[in-house]
Amino acid sequence: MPDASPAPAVSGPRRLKLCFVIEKLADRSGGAERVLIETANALADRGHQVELLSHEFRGKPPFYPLRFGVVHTNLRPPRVNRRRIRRHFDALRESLHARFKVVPAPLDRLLWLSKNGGFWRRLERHLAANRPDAVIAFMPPAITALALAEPGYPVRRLASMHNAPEQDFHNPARWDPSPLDRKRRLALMPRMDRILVLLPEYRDWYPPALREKAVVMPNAVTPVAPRLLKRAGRGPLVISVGRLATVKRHELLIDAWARIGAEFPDWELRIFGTGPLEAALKARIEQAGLGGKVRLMGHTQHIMKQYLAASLLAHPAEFEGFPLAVTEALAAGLPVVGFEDCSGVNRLVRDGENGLLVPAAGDRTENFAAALTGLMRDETRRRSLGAAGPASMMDYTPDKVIDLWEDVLGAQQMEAGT
Amino acid sequence: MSRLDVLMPHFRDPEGLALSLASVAGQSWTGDIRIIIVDDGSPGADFRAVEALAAAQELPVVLERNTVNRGRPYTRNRLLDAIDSPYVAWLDAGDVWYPAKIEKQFEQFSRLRLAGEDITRYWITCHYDWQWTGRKPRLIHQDTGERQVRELMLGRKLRAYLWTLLGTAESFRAAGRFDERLPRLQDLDYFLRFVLGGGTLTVPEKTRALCLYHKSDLGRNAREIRRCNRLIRDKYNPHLRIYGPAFLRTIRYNADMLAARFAGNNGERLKQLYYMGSAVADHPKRAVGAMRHHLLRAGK
Repeated sequence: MPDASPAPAVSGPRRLKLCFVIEKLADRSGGAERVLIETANALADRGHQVELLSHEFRGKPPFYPLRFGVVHTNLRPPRVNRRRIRRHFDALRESLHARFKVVPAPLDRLLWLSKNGGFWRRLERHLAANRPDAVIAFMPPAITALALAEPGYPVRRLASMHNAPEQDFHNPARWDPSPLDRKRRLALMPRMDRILVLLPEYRDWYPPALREKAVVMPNAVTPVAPRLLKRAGRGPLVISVGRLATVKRHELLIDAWARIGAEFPDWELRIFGTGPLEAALKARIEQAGLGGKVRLMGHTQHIMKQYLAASLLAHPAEFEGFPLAVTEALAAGLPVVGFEDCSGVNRLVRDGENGLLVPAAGDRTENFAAALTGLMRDETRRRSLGAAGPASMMDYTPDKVIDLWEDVLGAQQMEAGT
Repeated sequence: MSRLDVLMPHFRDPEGLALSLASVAGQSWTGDIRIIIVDDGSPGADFRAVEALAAAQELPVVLERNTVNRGRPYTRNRLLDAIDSPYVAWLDAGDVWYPAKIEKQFEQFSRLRLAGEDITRYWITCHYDWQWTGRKPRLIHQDTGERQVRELMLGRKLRAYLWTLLGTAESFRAAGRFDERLPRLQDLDYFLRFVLGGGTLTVPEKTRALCLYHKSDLGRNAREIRRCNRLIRDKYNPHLRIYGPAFLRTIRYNADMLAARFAGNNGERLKQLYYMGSAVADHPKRAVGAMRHHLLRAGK
């Protein structure tokens, strides 16, 4: 029988057209890149149309897999198709960028434009042509480009910050070292409709006018299935997970192990990650005679297996945003040892509940070694701290975090009809 | 039993719709078919005719209506919202499926499944007959080889026509929404997004034409098609640029020549000359080649 029916009213969250912007994404396995892709995938799963924009010469795909339907667009034109004269000009510009990091005014404006103008203009053109409902820029270079872009329609702009604000806005060692860039990073923030910060204390850092725009948007933490937690076979193993870079202070961990290793001959320290300090850390391990007991493991696709096999996560980092390694370890029932003055870590690790916060005063290496020793000797305490980990991460389940994203993006406005 | 939604936009063409509906009813595929028609604000008499057609069908029909004319992309978005079956095919009022179309396309899905492929990442297109008003039908092959973005933009070996497709509901949802700023070429935009999002177009093996497309340029707005082509080039510029400057010149040339053809068929000679001039400026070498080809043909 034919069934000629009137138009049904369609209601539910609005399906949005979203763009995530990040300067570099090709083959990058960092925490922010992972959060970006996981968020983009989860929003695509909820029916939103998602595009990822990057601006880089490397033509490689993202390290983390994209959900079917999520488009990755690299806004930077490939070098190969440029005219020879343009290629020479680009090479000259890049050598100038590398050589002159900081120049006096007014040349600094010229240098800044030469470095950043392409990203901002190309982003502007792309947004004007595609007209997404909202654009989410990850980390300062992309946020600056988004703030300056004038796509010709009222686009919703969101800045997603992935570190403690003082690191993103004031640390000359991070991002572009020129004072002009640092000044502009903060000066352009009022152009954002929302500033997404990882923790409530990061919101309080902003001046009152910006604080109103700041929304706490934690990273999502996937709970570990209880059957896996039950089956976890924890051995005499301490792990550390993170990029081999100065900020993670792996050298402090190696020095601490050199002091306590003799007392725990069965225990092993495995450091997962890659980075610029790999050779230096390897040399330090050899120098301390720790070969075989302290191992650099490189990158692994199966880090959860390690969280379930280890007894402790050592995380002596200097500062963090919302450290994924710490959240994943806690979700996997692994006690975490970190410093009390490390941003991010000191919010997620509750001293004496799901891990230990080591005092910053005095000899840090000695303090860290003492904290590790205490826990390595005391299995009962390790078990009790580990048992509290999964529950402490329940506020950050993917469903809750993606609901929050939809709320911030305006998708929760109910749409009647079509 | 597999279930299929056939999505049909309609505007002021009940006769064409009747032809299309008859071709759906005549399919050799034996699964459950549901037809969804969204009328894009046709005047009362036309809509009444559509209601009568819907009521006369043996297959289940869902009929929806835009209260005013909102354009094809909007209407297609309404059709996307109405999907309820796991498989989806499209058919524009006036175009015709040959009886084996859906059956052959489902066979291709079975082959993909047997090969261990994830079928949500595939759209099955098909070869088709191209029927210009007053001429004999011409068989058009869809060549679904590599570099599908490039081929879709060139539009010679692979063309973006929704009514050739069979896909899963999930695949059509993943491709997003139709861009309501594109009164023309919204199919091309939708296909490009599907392929860039990780999708692949494929054709059933060993088949000839599986549907018939009635083609006419009459009344098609030359300026509009040129504007739509420009918008698509702007939207996908970073993806198109990787094929090099010659490719970019070619697609600009093709767009101008298409606009010139529309203008010519509508009797707008000045506009036609303007667009042809623009095409020559886009790609002089290609223009000279095309002219030589035409002269040689005329000489023969």
